[in-house]
Amino acid sequence: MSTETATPAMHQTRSASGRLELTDLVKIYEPGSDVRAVDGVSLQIEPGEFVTLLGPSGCGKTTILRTVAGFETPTSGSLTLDGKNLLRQSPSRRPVSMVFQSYALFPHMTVRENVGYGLKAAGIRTRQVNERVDEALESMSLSPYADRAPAQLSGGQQQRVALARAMVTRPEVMLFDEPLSNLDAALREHMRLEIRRLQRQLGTTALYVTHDQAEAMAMSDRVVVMNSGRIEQVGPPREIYRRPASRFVAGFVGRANFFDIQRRSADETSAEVELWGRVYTVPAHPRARETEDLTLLVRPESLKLTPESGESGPATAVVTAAVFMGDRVEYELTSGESRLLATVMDPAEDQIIPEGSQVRLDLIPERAWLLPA
Amino acid sequence: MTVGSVTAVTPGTPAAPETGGSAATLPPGRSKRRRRGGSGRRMDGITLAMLLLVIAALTLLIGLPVLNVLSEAFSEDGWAVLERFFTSPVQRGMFVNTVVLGLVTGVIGTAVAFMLAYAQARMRFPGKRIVHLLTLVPIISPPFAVAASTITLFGRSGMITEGFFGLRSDFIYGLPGLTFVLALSYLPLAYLNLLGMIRALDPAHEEAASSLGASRWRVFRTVTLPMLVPGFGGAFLLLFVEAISDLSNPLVLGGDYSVLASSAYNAIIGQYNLPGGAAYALVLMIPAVAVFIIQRYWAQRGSHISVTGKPSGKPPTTTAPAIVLPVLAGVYLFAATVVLLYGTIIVGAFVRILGVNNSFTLDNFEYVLTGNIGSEAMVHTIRMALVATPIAGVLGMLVAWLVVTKLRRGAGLLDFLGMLGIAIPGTVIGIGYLLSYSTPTTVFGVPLLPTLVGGSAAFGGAIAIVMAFCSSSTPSGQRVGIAALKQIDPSLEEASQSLGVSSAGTFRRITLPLIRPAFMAALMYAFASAMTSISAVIFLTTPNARLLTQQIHNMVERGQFGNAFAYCVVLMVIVLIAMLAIHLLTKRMRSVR
Ligand SMILES: Nc1ncnc2c1ncn2[C@@H]1O[C@H](COP(=O)(O)OP(=O)(O)OP(=O)(O)O)[C@@H](O)[C@H]1O
Ligand SMILES: [Mg+2]
Repeated sequence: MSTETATPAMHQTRSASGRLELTDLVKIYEPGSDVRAVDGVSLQIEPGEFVTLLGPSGCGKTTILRTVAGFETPTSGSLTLDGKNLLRQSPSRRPVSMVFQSYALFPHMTVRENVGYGLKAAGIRTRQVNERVDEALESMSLSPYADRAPAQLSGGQQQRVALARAMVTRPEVMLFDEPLSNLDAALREHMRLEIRRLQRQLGTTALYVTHDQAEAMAMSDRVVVMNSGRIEQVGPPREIYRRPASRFVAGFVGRANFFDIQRRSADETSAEVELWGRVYTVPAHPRARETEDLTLLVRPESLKLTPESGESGPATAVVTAAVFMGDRVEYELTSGESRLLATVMDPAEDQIIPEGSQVRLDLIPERAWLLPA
Repeated sequence: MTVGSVTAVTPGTPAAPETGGSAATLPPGRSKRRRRGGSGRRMDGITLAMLLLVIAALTLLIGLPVLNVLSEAFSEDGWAVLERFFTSPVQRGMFVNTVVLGLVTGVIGTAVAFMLAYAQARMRFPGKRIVHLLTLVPIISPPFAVAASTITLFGRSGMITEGFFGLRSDFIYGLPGLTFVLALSYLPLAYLNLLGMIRALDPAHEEAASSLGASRWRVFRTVTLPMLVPGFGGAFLLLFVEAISDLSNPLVLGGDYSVLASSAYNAIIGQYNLPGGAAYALVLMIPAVAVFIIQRYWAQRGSHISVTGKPSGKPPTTTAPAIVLPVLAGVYLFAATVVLLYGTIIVGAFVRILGVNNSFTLDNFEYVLTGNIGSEAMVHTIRMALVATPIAGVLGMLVAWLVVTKLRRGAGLLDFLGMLGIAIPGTVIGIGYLLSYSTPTTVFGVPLLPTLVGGSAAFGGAIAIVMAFCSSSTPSGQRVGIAALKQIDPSLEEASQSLGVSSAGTFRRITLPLIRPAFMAALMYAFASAMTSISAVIFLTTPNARLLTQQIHNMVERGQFGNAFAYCVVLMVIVLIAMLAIHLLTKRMRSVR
């Protein structure tokens, strides 16, 4: 942690340090049991990178975060920061700050005292503490509330205090455990940008936990999708969405149509499949070559709908629900046995297909994705 | 309003705070707690009736007696005694003694209770559960049981002081012995209070502090301790008031350390000087009420614990040897002391004269159980305690219910008045009852109540004793009730009402089952406190309404320790059986639903 003062406006990046490395992390809470809350997680996070852990409830996200912070000791595995072993250090020695879902603002201290807490603990002189706290409050537009108690603030303001408190000590790594889940939708979107702005400005490495896939998409350099203690896939948001490694990831991130399918032929990056009596060439997961039984993923917006009159499209379906969302219309369709979802972006008023109508279906092959079943 | 907000007094049922909240804790969210009962709605008939009932009950139990103490103390005879507090160094010394005793007991008791609660909540050690139960033992025994046992062990010819070390020391007679006995006797409630509070702390606060780089000690000093301030205030108040109102221990253990409570007792029982007794009682009330008000002010200031989001993490376990070793040494020393003192009581009940003639005998029990007075006292006490227990329990819950869910503007005031009972020393209540209910009570010439005190009164004077029992245990019920009710999400009650269930039905079918653990705790405490109390009721006993505690008191004063010990054992067994019965009874209440 550097102690020199710097104005928050200064776009300092510190890409030299803050490389966090988790190797084969395992956490078993109850000794003797074989229930693994975290089951062999390895992850490298580059300095200044923003990485999000995404996954269903109970998959071990909080456990990983708390292990990095030092509140849990892993059963096995290693944890290093810039090559130094973090596991030997107590939570207070680690250059790591955590923002809690409950904010955990100290109720008996004012906003100013809360924000200055970490600096005082580091033994920094009062004058400097005050300067840095003032700056932090200023940059978060919290100055008017400096002498209030946390209980006298709104939820969004409390959230910003929690953020300021964690950032003012300039940790190498910031941890966030669903920090926005107590805010309403509009504020949540605003705070997403705010957090990202501050994190970029300070060049801090960030590990962020969320349930909310839109949040993960919007904020992250890379998303880690987890399932029961294991990593399913790591990658940039676009890759996670377009090129998921498994059906679980595809289903968890965004809405999806799946077709059980057999491939006809395949090379490294694409394959030929037959659907609705037609042969399509679609991009494919490398492992799609290894097996015959495959799943074709088609996102709702990659299905093409045309009214019965227009004759393009190899399949027919019946519209069972049409929901107008403003910028798009979401359709629910029945085609034979299966239920499908389709989205049409920015439709003209007279093009909205009423419920009960027959439609013809096609897909955009280059937007589809073939993965092992 | 906030005395009970995060505390949980649950004698005998350590699991109550958790179970009380598990079913219906507040959902995460940043909204501050809404006051229930709707805004701007007029009070419904039932609420109004309940409110009037509660006010009438509090007036009769506490208000009227206290007013009568005040007016009697300022009568001519009373003033003669009061005046001496300004002129005589003896009286002033007595006042100072009383306050010093309260302060020392309060500070030491709170510190020890905190140490025990902290170890219980935050450390791992062998025998944890047993230590917890040992800490609670004094709840079920009268305080001078400990005094008698202390004298036997550490007195002038004590088994340890003289028998073991060959010392003939009067050290324990006076402040040291009184502090020791009183702190130990009244510590369980303070302990439960603090334990509930430490457990209710969101571990995230401490984790946040340490992730900001604060050392363990710094976290403890700047986060943990300050957040517990209201708990310390509550614990101190309890110990302070109990210590200064206790009149029996100073009589047997005080030596020449004279205090107000026992002087009041001597004035009334020894010299039949009722106004004099009232004057002592008035002076006694001053520090008690002062501490009460300071404590409430503190608690109010320290109660900004807001509910934001769901608590996360698990309570940290303290493992640093530099802290753990001394604390555990203290904890085990305390546990050993309890075992020693209560072991002495039990063994003492089964031998002729403990330390002098240690041959086994059942004579003590024969004396207690078959002797006329002994068995009568037992039957009378149990009967009166059984009547008082449900009344006090229900009244306490009723006050809590009105304060938390029904009242808007008057809630703070009603809570204050209800809790005031904690700050009025038992001695004052007893004298107040003597003054108020020895003659029929009339309001503007209209007869309201017959004579309640004395052998010729209705039920041989038992009504006044039952009332005194209620006055001392209602505040505890109120406090656990408030703590439990505050944990219930108001939307549960609203949901029930929107499904067409009346407000009374909602209370019975939704609220009551959810506060069941608190109610059970209140009942247990009410019974235990009725069975073991003495300061108020010692003024009110009659041949037709005898008290076990008074018998024990008499035995100890006469030096018949064997009999006193046997009485104590019997009393403790009764209280234990009753607690078990209440436990089973209230458990069935739930499974029936
Ligand atoms: N202190 C604990 N003791 C025992 N088991 C625990 C403990 N904390 C968590 N677990 C278990 O470990 C698993 C992972 O929990 P964790 O809190 O990491 O999940 P999460 O992904 O953060 O879930 P959520 O999204 O609901 O917050 C869960 O099955 C949980 O029950
Ligand atoms: Mg979690």
